[in-house]
Amino acid sequence: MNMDSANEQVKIWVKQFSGELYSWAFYKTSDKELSEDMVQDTFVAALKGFKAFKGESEVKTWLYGILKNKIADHYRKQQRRSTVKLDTTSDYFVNGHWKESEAPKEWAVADETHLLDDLKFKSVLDGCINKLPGNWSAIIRLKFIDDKESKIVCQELEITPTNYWQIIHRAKLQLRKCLELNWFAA
Amino acid sequence: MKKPTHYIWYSCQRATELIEKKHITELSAIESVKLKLHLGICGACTKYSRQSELIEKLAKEIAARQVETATDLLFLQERIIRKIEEQ
Repeated sequence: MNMDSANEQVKIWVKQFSGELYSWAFYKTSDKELSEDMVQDTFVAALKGFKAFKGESEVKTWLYGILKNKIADHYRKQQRRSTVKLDTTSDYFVNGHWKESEAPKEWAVADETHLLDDLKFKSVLDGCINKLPGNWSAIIRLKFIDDKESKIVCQELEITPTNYWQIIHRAKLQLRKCLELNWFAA
Repeated sequence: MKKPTHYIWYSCQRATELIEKKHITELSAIESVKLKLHLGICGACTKYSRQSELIEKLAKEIAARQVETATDLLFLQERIIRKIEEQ
């Protein structure tokens, strides 16, 4: 197969797979630019290794394999900063009951439908989502921003459905508290 | 905490877990009844439930307004294709 047809083939794969490869990379790194670069490098590597790919595995599996290596390389080079504090449910509950300081307070919401038109509120909300640990904010983003069905999110992130809503639960506890502190109680 | 009541009453931790589960999947009949019982007597979890609902709504609305994710992907694809043509 000559170089031109390899080019054409890889371009088709870009259209087909770049979206999900990007979501995967973003889940793993929580870094937009880094994810874009890694997806690009993946396809460049695919073009270079085109002859080696004999169609024995599925294209998608092959591409994921290249990307996974790139992500692993990245983490080997740069030890992941693990300074983000993961809230656990014990930060909120004692023996299953709300801790007194953590129990939800009444929120004074005058106009729910126009909250997001308030740019200050919007930036507080964005800030609170960004403050979530990497995996959680990726899940929140996959769930809402891409409006993915939970089944698909679970597949992409290789987690079980139970795991999924428990992560959502913890993310929501943290998000709720952040909004209360920075907006509704401020 | 009185142990035997566990069979009838959810703890707040469990109740809020189920509030989140309900956004994603359907609750079983028993889960649904026990959650309603809990919310009937628990002010904090009732507030949590309302606030959780609001957060869901807000996040969905943000998603709906964020058309840029699709155009972002197109830009990314164009960028990669240019790069491939350079090779």
